[in-house]
Amino acid sequence: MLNNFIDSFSEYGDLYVQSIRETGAMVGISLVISTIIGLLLGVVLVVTRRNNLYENPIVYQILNVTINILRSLPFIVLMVAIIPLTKLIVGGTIGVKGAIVPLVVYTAPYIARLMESALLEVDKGVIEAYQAMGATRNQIITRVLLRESRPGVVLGITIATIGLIGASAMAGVVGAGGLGDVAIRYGYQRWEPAVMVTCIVFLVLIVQAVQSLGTVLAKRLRRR
Amino acid sequence: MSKVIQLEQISKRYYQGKREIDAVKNVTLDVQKGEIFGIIGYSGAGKSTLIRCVNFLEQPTSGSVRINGIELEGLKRAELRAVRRRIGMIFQNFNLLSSINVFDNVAAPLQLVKTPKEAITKKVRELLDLVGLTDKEESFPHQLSGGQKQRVAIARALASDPEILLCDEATSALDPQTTESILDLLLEINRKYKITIMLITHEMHVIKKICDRVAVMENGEVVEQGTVMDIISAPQQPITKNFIKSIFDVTLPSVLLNKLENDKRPGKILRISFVGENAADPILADLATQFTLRPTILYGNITQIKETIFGCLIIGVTGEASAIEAGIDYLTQQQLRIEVIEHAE
Repeated sequence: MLNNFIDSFSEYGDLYVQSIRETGAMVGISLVISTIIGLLLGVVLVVTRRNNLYENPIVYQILNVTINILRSLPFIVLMVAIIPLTKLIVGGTIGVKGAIVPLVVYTAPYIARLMESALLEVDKGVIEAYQAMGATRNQIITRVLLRESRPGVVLGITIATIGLIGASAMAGVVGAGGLGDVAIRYGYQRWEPAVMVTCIVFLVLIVQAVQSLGTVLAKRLRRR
Repeated sequence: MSKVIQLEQISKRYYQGKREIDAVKNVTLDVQKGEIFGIIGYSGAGKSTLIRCVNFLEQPTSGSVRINGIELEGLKRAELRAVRRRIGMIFQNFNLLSSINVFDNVAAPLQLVKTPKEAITKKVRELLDLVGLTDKEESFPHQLSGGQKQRVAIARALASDPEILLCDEATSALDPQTTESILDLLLEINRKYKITIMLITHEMHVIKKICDRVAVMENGEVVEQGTVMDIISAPQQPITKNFIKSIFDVTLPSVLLNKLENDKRPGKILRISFVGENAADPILADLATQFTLRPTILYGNITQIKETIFGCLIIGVTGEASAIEAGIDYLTQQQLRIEVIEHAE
């Protein structure tokens, strides 16, 4: 059994390195883009609510429904369904760059919801205090909402990152590679249990590391 | 005396689903420059909504709010912000930013308008000195006690050199001792910086200790207003009497009342209210020697309203009817408020 692992490591060592890199690239790039979009949408979702800074029922409802629709689709369906969009944006549907568009379309709405709930946690009284001292609406967003919600935002991004790692495994379907892809092709289709187990161990370790990092960071930001 | 805050016929109506809620109904009141004006009422009386109308955190459904003569209705956003910077506000729950330290919390109003760094540091240190928290600059709100948090909030409210300070139940979340120290601080700020203070509370003690004038609110309406001395010495409305009872109970115990009712001797029961220095005059001795009356002390209470001594004495007097009348005339001439509360004949 142990020999199996050693053999598979020496045989596929480069493959693991390569696939971790691919996973890292897919997750890293889509995470940055999704976080920017998601945070922005999360802020819009919060401030356009009733009795909020930029109350606007039309914008709120459109965004709300759109996010719900996108969030209804399983990643594998979404990825195939938006192939035309992916082609339009990155000029192809293959490889890491082909995976990034669907990953972003999948993750950004998720992050938007996570950011929404983190931002809604911010004490209304503090917002009121800043309104009373003559802060502009944008100052309230940047100085109060985004600052006070940082622990929740970090935890939300952590959750989204882990979801993103999961989704990226399915991106193997479009030939984007990554650990999930290796697990399916070598571990399942070629029936090499050692490869399957190795991939699982790597995924578990990565997820653990991401979660611990997120938890520690959120704890440091939480000052209460 | 100029009117700093003028509220005219203020009403605020909310909709809770289809239900209409009139939180504030036709409130008219003025706050003079440099005074401490209190609004007292039970929870749900509308006082919190009313004080939020003063800086337009709540826009009244109808009526006019004027700050230093400027009508707030119809102001552009930037103009309203300029007015708000002249009005500090503190809250029951302090409402400090938990993610930044004491220094940055106090500096917030100055940072909003891009004040130079050195000026901010100077101002913040000065304010932390005033509120007695110089050593807490680097602390975060969660490391402070309730009283300390309210001191930080006061310092923050004063950072933009406001003319008006609004206090929304500022001491309601604090224990009695801390309440005293915060009230002392508010009084000091009022005197030192000539800042006009408008506060809301449900504690008569707060009104008695620092307010000059008071309005009593019930069901969204102001039912009674006047100087604190007048309201305490001669409350008109039942709700006002209830509030005053909490600090100054002038009702006779029922056992004593029954006994007096069965007393057949000719005489009267008088309630004598006295204010300020005549508290020390020997009026009872005068009644006995000059009018040959026999005064009996039934009940007495003395308290301090802001800086003025206010006392109340209930006495029974027996003697000739004409002598009693003369005695009452005499007491009235001594600048005392006399009420005949019961005949014991």
